[in-house]
Amino acid sequence: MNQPSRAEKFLMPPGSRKLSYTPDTKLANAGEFVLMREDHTLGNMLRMELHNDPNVVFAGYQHPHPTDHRILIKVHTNGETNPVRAMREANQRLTEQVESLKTQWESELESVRDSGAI
Amino acid sequence: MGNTPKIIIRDATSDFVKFTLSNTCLSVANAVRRVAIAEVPTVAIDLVEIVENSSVLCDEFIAHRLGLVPLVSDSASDYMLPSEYVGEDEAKINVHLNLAVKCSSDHTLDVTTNHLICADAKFLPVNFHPIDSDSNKQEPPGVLIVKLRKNQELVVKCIARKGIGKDHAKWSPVATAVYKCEPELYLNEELTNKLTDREKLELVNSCPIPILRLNQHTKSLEIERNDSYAYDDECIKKAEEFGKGKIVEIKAKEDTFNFFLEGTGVLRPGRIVLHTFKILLSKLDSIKVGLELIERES
Repeated sequence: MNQPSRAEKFLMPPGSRKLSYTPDTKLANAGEFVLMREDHTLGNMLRMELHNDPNVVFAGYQHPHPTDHRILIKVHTNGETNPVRAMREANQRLTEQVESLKTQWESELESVRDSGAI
Repeated sequence: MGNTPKIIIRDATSDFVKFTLSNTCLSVANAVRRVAIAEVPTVAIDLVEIVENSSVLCDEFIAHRLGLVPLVSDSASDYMLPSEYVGEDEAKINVHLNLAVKCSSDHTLDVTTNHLICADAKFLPVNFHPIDSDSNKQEPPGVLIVKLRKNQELVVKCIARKGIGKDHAKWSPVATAVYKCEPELYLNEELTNKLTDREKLELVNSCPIPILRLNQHTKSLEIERNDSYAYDDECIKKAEEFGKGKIVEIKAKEDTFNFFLEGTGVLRPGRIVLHTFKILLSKLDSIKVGLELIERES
């Protein structure tokens, strides 16, 4: 078929890395993350969580092209931290949030067990 | 930021679940919706071999219709995605279903999902009731695949596989997954008291989805909680007609999201949401692993 393979949307190209980081050549404490085979789901979530960090000066994400299945996240921090650390902390906070949602959901399901929704 | 999000189920049946996600931001709510639609794995027919097809529909048409048949996917986690599996054992990724029907009567024969012969009882079409020619019980009809007239025949071999909605919508476990900010209503009592009873009633009736009610005893307007409010602003328009636009004020609570998630029947809605959180966690974990690698290298 004359169309790109649908598997490209989620299959990692051989030998590629999920996450890579390139520091900015002109600015200190700035750089760009490349997230392979991810979309707005994670891009937007990480960006918004980075905004919650007072040491992050700038955080933005980009989905370069509809057939280019990766996400670019640009992060610029002040001297207190660096982009990699800010990203690690943002990721950690998100993990805690989703973890808590999961446990809450499990106990909610327990309470509606008889409805057939589980 | 020490704010932990909250989640409560408002209503749940075997078809849908309504829940409220609060104390979080839009990006998390949208991630939940997006993952539920596109990344929760299910099983659907993926490969179809046509052995005999003398029906009026062409081969491709039937293959497409078979692909869209919802298969109960509670055991999908026992199987692997074809892209993940590296071994030779096809039984680890393939589920076989067959269909062999010939119409021999003068009446049109409706070929439905109930005619499918399923090799694995764990992956049956939703609401499956196998055709039993001995009993004349009226079973609920399955999903119609094709209609055959006399002497027409359809013989196909199908292979169902695990997949995700990102690949093809047939693997999406949800029919609807939407959220809306919770509406917050404010009534200006000073102004409502100046309205006549008729105007009050008109205001109540102006809302297509009721959000106001008239207390029959005190004849005063009250707010009715309604999660399905569609931000139609009809009662504000009505209030403006009366020249009192400030009577009702409706704001969207931007950190509270009312979800409505309806399944297609392949997974129970509660499970879909649970899977969603698990998938989100594994995504976040892959970032963590990536970051550790970067930190070790620098």
